[in-house]
Amino acid sequence: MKQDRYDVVVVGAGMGGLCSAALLTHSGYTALVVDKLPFVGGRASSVKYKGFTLPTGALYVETGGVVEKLFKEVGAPFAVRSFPMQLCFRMGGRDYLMPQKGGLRDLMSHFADERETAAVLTAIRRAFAWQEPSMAISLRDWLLQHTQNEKILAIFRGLVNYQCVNFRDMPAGEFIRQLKFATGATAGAHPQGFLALMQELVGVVEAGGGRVWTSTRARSIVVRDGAARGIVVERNGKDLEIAAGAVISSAGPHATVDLAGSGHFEKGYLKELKEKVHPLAYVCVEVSSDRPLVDFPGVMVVPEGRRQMTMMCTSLAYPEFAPPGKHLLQAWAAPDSSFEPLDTAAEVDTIVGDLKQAIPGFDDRAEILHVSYWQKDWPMYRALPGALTQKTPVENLYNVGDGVAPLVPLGLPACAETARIVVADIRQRLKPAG
Amino acid sequence: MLNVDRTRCVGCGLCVYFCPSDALRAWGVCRIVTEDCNECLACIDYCPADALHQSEAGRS
Ligand SMILES: Cc1cc2nc3c(=O)[nH]c(=O)nc-3n(C[C@H](O)[C@H](O)[C@H](O)COP(=O)(O)OP(=O)(O)OC[C@H]3O[C@@H](n4cnc5c(N)ncnc54)[C@H](O)[C@@H]3O)c2cc1C
Ligand code: SF4
Ligand code: SF4
Repeated sequence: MKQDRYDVVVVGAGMGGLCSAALLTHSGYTALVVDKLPFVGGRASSVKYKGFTLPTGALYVETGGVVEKLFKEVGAPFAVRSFPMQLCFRMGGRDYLMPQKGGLRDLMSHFADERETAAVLTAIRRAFAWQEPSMAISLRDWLLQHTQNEKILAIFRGLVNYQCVNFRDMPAGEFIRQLKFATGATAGAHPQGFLALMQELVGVVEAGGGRVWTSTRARSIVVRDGAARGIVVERNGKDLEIAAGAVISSAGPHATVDLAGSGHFEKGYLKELKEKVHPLAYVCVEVSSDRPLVDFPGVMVVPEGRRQMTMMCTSLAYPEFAPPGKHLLQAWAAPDSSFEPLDTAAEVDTIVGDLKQAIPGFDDRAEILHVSYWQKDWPMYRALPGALTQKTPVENLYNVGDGVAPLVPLGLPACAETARIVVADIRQRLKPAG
Repeated sequence: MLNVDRTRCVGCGLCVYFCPSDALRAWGVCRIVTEDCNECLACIDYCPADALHQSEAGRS
């Protein structure tokens, strides 16, 4: 078998893997990134389809946060354009704009008296200022201690949907933490789609002497004497061993164990992995129309359907994403459960049914372009934050990405943060071979 | 003949984007419109769940 050597080898060219490789090459390490898919970006990439630019996963990235900071640090252009972060709730056939200041109070006041509103706000204020609620209770059950008002519960169901987590799956503690992060945050998209953004990181890796190989599958992680020594990849039909001082995997913590062989991991780690790392499911429906299906240019929350849903006429903020004369609406919704087996086709029927209810005249005005269901090995998030650390029991083997997210905003910022943590550790332990 | 392994398919619809013959439908799970598929096998490499395979016989 042919052999090659790099300081660090990275499995997966998504946000976690590419951020790691960019930080490494920027610090003088040689790095090779391999991805089994023919494109970079993983669940944060984009494709051209029927004239539209559609995401392979992530729709937006936080601006001014961890990701942008990392791009700046490695010298990658971050041409993300923010959109107005205002939310509008469509409830009972009416639209309620959520004011940016005092929005929650304002929204609740349409459906509850002052005493009821105050009870919920006091609980939230206390959770912010004193102690976050437990991770052992769902947000819904936590709220039920303070209100029985179905409309208020629906408002929170809608806010959770904005974080792309099912109301029943969201621990109360995590929601409060996300709410803290969300305050004042803005988000946006690259006008040419996520692929263009991720290619900026590829540019940094390659300019630093690293390599990014797509259509290259890691078949195994080589472990000898309790330490990771490299990987074996399949490239152009041949197996190739890549030796490395450290291995970073963004394939997800379960896949990392499979690639290295579970026999190399401590039992306690495997137990935690089994108990804590559960992927979260989501559904995205993309719709084409001649005229905008909603007039509001921000995020429209539809919290009262059979499934929680959020939608946005993306082409109002990003006309580049639709061909001339067309509009693009993206609706994202949580299936009934991430963890129980479901009839996924029936879930999509339900979600599309809800969408048709939320948009008057849907059948005459709209055409469904694409439906994606995210779950299991290709999920919305591989785990809730804080499930596992980035280091594994195998020396010099790390995980990055949303399966080992620390307590920062979910999704892409979490991926960037894991890269930063892992690269800081590598820099302490390993000298670049030069 | 192209086959979808329904135990592996997550329904992400990535394959749909890359089929030049518009022969794939994703609606919670992937389905092949067999009469439209020209067996170019382009889709196989784009499936993140390794759910698409070529087989001698059998329909999805
Ligand atoms: C529908 C949807 C909407 C989302 N919206 C947002 C959003 O708006 N904002 C936000 O911040 N986050 C969002 N997220 C979450 C965000 O997309 C993910 O958290 C992030 O992209 C995960 O990046 P990653 O690097 O951890 O994993 P991935 O992107 O999955 O990258 C891992 C890569 O590893 C590759 N791989 C796996 N196994 C192997 C192997 N054996 N050999 C070689 N390569 C391998 C895979 O092909 C993949 O490309 C969304 C996710 C989804 C699904
Ligand atoms: S084999 Fe080719 S034509 Fe058939 S479904 Fe796949 S991409 Fe489409
Ligand atoms: S790409 Fe694979 S997992 Fe996704 S819908 Fe197609 S066959 Fe299913």
